[in-house]
Amino acid sequence: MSAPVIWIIFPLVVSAILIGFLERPRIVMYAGLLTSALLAIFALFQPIGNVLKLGPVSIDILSELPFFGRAFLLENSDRFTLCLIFFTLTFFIGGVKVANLPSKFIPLGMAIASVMTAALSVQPFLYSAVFVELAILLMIPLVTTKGTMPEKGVIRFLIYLSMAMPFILLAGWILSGAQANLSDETWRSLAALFLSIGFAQWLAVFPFHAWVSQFSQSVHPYISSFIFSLLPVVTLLIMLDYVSSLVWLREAGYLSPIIRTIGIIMIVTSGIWAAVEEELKRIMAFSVLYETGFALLLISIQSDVSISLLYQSFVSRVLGLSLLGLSLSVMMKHGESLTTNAYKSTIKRYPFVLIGMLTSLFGIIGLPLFAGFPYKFASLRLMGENGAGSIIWIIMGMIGFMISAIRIFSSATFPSAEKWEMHESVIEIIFLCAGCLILILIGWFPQIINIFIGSLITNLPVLQ
Amino acid sequence: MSHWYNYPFILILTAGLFLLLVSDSRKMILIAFGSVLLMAFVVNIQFWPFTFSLSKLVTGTMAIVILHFSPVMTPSQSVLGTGKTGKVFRATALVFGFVLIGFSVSTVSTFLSINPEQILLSLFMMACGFIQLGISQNPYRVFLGLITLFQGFEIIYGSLESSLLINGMLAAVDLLIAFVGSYLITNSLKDEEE
Repeated sequence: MSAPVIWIIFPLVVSAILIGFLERPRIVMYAGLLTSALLAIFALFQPIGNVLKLGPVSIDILSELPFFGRAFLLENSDRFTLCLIFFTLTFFIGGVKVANLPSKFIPLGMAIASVMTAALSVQPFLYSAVFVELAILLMIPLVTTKGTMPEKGVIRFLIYLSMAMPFILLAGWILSGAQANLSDETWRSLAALFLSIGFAQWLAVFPFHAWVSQFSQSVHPYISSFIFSLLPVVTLLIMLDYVSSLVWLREAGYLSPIIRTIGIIMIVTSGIWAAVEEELKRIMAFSVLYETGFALLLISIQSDVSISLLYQSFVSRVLGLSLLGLSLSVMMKHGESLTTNAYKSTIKRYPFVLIGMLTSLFGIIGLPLFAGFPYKFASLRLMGENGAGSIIWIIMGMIGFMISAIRIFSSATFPSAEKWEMHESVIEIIFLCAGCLILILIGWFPQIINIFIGSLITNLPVLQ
Repeated sequence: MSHWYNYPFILILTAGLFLLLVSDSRKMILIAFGSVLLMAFVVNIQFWPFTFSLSKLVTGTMAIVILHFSPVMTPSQSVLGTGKTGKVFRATALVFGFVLIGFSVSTVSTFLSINPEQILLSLFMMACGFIQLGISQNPYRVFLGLITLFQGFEIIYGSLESSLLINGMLAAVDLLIAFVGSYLITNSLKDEEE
């Protein structure tokens, strides 16, 4: 048996089977949860290439699966990513009932995770764009609700992300030729241009960012936080694959300043937008752009330390977004409007939601003792080595987000004659508190991540 | 002009693309897209293996048929409306696109080492797809635009890359776009009918 069969084909088959059981949501829920948790745990503990012994049965876990002249390749260096994808899926499936989502989320989520894994493992990696496109198309049924027309945000999401595929594929074709003819500057420039347009669309880099906030506004917050947890992370990893594998691109003098500048622009603009935004769903969208900006900064530094930090930061990013999505979903479930104005005095009705929302936002901003702090601080320190100018801009973005968090806090704690009456159910409180606890623990003891995934981090595919 | 006999086919394809963009009738759109695919097949077959060209034709036809059988949504219009002005604007935009392509076709053809007829077909289809995506908010039109864009792109990419996996995946993408489009349209109307 090969690793791609376990992490690509198996979840795909399970998701196809679960679609037949949508009328029985409990079965779908438990089967999905069990499958995704098992796959995540398996990625955590089972080295690829070793033999798995189950009593008298020995299974050789091969790393490669040949497929129509190409191959899917999953190695030990990919186990961190596999863990991340399937743990993310497990967390989100776990919260489906609390977020009040239809059970179609589970099979579709599994199929998306499986296709995303395929995108990361296809060899040559230049073809990953097609699999990302398939995953994007699978996301469409997930984000639409029965009986309503697809909103503008969903249509924009589809158009912007689909347009990236031709650019990436053409760049891939040029690169496969340019690798053999390194002296041809025209081809390389064209490939770099196509790649930058393609990745800019996938990562919602300015000026291709408009769909993010529209999409977030149109879609259930839990679903958008799931998509924003997986899609940018996978595309960042694909981007890293490109930068790492193409010597001329990695060593190009313009690469680092361009990525750094884009990262800074994303942080500053998303911070400013968040500071003046009323809609909570859109603030979540800006937090995605903000996190992507930081991820680009870490890639621009191009060192082993920065790449290792980038991988570790994905954990807090995914947890922060899932908690933010869950908090907004609980509010939505109770029929509350998701704007800062309508949020007035809600602390008396939804105290745990407010705590969850602020914990995740503080973590995303990178405030001390919250989950994102170690990575944001390390990014600032590494950036500081190249000069203080960029730090000032980044801090401006952070202040913007801080203003947004303070506005939410001040609106939620606005004095009123209303009596304290908690509307959250016990299960909602448990989920929100668990999320907060994990995020705070990661902030206080960042080494916790290393305890669980330390062995995987040593095998990361860092920039060669 | 080594394959001058292809130009009538390209002319029919161009007319088909105009009809595709301007028409508001589903039946006309189906006929127009069918003629576009057929003309593309006739040209492609001269440069590609028969089975490869046929697979593109079959995929495209299946995709448009799947999309065609989704229920009709009301109102079905672009951001420019269904009036004459909107149609004139769409047609003018396509003409400008075609003129631009006409000027750049030889450069692109030399650059990519693909014959000019295929480049012309491909870029015309892509331009039509882009315009549909740019001016439409109706899901049917958006999915039609995506299929047109990808069908056009596949003519260029198919000439460059012959991998079975990738071309198969691209066909899967086309069909999935049609399925998702059809699902989206059907799903949005179901409750209204009930």
